[in-house]
Amino acid sequence: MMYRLCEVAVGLFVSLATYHAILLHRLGGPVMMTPDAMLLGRTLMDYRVLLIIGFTLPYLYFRATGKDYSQLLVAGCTLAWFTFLEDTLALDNVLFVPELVTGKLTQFSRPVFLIALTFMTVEARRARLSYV
Amino acid sequence: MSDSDHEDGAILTDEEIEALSRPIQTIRLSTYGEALLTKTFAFKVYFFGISTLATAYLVAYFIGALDTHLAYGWSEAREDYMLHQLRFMAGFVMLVSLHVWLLLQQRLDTLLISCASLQTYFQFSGTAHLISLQGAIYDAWFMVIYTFLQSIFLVLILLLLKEEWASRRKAWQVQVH
Repeated sequence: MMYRLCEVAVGLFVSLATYHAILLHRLGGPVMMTPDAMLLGRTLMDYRVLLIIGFTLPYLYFRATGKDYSQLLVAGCTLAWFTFLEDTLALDNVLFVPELVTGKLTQFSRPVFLIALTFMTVEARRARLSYV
Repeated sequence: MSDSDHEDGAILTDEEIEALSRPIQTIRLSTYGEALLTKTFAFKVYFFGISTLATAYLVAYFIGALDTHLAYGWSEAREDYMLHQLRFMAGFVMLVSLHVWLLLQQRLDTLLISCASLQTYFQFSGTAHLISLQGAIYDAWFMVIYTFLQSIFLVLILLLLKEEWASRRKAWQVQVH
């Protein structure tokens, strides 16, 4: 039950973040101090979207076919935490745009997403290792 | 003992008493010899290789030898500098975690999957950013060395993961026989 709830939370964040990143891209990318920094912000933002799609689609496939998805979750969870650190410490919250509702929602729901994803990873890994 | 105590379930079973009287297992770091005893020969080779290479790479960064070659050297953007610091710190944490986990004789597969995912992310986002900076792409030798070095780390992590599974299978087979 708890796992399902976490899946819903992660699913909501993933949809929101993808929509927000596409919207931000259409508006010209994140606003930063120098052209090089803007370029960096845009490159990393594109990678965030690619990562989200690259992890969500295989997860859905593995979940539907009943294959082991714990390793995929470990990789996804590690990258989610690291990109969070990068965005917060190095890029001054590149995805946060206070003028956009999706920007605010993405920013505020990110901690919930990280906790939910961590819970899912631990549960999936525990189930896998106890099975093996 | 009164009946109310029985109803509270205060009586311990033999298994519970045995579990309580068992000495508490404290965390103990083993020696490298003990930790590598159950590992395959290839694991030891890859482990030594990745430790040496990663240490050399980190030392080169921390003494400033790589500053002009990394993205910060081309763009001079503060964000690039911060990203480098964060990524090299992550590399350092990964290396230390690998050694500590090994010495604690814990399963390494989850940690290695995390390391592999981070290294893949570093390699692809780093290379894409260098290409987008224009200047770096014209320095062909630098790009070749950078990509080669990053790929070596990734390949070594994946080989370590493969050998970790092989070592566990080997240890399990020894236990069965």
